[in-house]
Amino acid sequence: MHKILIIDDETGILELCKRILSQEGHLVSTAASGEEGLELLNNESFDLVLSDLRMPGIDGVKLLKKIKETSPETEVIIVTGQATIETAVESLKGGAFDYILKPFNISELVTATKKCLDYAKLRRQENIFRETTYLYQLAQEAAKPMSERALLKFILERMAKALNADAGSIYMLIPGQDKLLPMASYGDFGQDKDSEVKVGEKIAGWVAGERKPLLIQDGLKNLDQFRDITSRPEIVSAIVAPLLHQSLLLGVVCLNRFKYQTNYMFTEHDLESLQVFVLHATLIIITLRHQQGLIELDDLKSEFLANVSHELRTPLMAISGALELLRSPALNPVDEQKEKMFLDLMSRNADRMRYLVNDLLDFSRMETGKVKLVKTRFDLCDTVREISRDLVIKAQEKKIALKADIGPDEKIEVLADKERIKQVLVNLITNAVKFTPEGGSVTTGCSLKDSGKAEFYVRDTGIGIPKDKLDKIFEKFYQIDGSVSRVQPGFGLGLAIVKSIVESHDGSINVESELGGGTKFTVSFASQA
Amino acid sequence: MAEKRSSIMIVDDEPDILIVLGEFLSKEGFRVLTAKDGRQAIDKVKENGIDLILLDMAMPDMNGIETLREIKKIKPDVSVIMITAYRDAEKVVEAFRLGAYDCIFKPFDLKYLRQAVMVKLLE
Repeated sequence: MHKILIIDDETGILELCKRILSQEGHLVSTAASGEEGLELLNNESFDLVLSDLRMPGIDGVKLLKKIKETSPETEVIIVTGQATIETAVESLKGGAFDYILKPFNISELVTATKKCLDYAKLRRQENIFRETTYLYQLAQEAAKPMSERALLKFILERMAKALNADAGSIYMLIPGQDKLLPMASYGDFGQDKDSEVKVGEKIAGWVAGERKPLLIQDGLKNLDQFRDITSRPEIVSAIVAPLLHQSLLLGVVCLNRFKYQTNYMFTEHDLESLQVFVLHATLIIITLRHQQGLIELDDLKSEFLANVSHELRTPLMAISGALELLRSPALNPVDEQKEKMFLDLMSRNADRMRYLVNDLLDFSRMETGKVKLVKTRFDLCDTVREISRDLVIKAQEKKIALKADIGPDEKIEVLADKERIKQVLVNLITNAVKFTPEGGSVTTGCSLKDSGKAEFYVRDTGIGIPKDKLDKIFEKFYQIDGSVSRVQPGFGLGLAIVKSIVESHDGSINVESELGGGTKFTVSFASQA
Repeated sequence: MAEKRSSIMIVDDEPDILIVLGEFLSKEGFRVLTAKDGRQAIDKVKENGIDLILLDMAMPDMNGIETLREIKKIKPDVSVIMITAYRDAEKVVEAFRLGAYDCIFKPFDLKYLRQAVMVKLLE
């Protein structure tokens, strides 16, 4: 359905045209003079104006000129009784799409209208198509994957150009938080350029929350949801659309037109175009994210392999060196004390290798889903106490106080895989000890929630985890301090294994941490699954 | 063997590596010092007449490369042999540029270590 305005000083023509075009399914308005027509055009946008050429007051040629100034996207067809080539040329030069000679028959009118509207639609589509094609080329030809910020800037600039916007911005959703952060801006975007917006707040936030595109044509007065927002008076019109990938919200795009610049309003068609553009833009953004994800995973893999070989070579070096010393004739006559020291050293390092290899095996089993849980009933408090006690000596070596904050009579019966739960505890406590400086403390505890969930925690007074790393620590291979200078041995599989075990119990693991203020891991699972 | 007993310092964050290498080199007749990190190594370089340093590449806080740089500032003519379990060519090249004399890769035979050490000390 299109909006058509017919301007003619002959009532008969107006009525006839209105009837014919309404039957074609269009929304038709009429005006009996050029002045009346312009007033209508000021208040709403039309796809097509059919105007008589000779009228008292503002005639067709003046009207055409005015329309092309104030709403250049509105097509005009001149209807004329004077079949001279001069008037035809004059109209077409002024930007009219076509002209119809009076008297005309119904099919002439219908055909001309249809041709004009189809043409306008094609032109809009072509514009968008050209700009999005350019975007794809750009994304593909970039020598190295560009940063998301740079890509967003390109996208925004092309959108603004394609849709004749004077300013615009792209807000991206911060994952896990209901906040939008401006990542790219174009033109004069006012003071809001750098401030974040909560989902639900302001216009961008509303679009993010509703996941619906929005067309603003005459300020905010007709939009009840923005009653409390003062609109910027210099903005004539705005279009806003969410960046959606399937059901995932990535962000929001806003485009504005200003008075004294592009002084005419966005239309429903512009909003449609924006949505097509946004569809392509989203695909390109997602592709970039996948590419970067793959690169990141690749880097992690190489780092992981380097760590695996380092972690295995170090104890291997100790073992083979000790063996060589035990065998060497220089140790004769046998010094029993030394011999025992070397044997202990070898067994210690063999253990270390075994733990590492077990971790690797466990991990690969979990990856392929080959782990079967063997659930039994046991007392969780007892298990937490037991593991804490077992690891006290290890903690003492680093002058760290490890204690279970559980009363002697406390009991929580759970149905779970005891060995796996123990493994989780060992991993979490060992980690906590690793990342806590000398003199610190590690505390464990457990509780039964009203919901029937059993919980246990491991809390340390260690170095803490930076906020931006919190959601990465459970990823496989990840070590906060990757690289050769890394502080802690290990493969970076411990927490990935922990998470996998917890999830196989339909449970969840939660981490709270403060840099320099310690870390607390809490595991929660149904006690009677 | 040289007249005076040569002094060798081993720098490694793995205590068991210090034990094994230290034990071996003592038996070979060297005076052995150990340091468990870069800071300790730098302090000891300042005080003692050290002829040769075995320096681990991957250590917490201050890695082998950083330690090497500092040591060479204090005592430019001390010989340093890097020890590493990584096979990271870039780091090795960097170490040589900073004046390391050799680089050996874990795990290695102790006999091989003796060879590397002797070659340097008998120069």
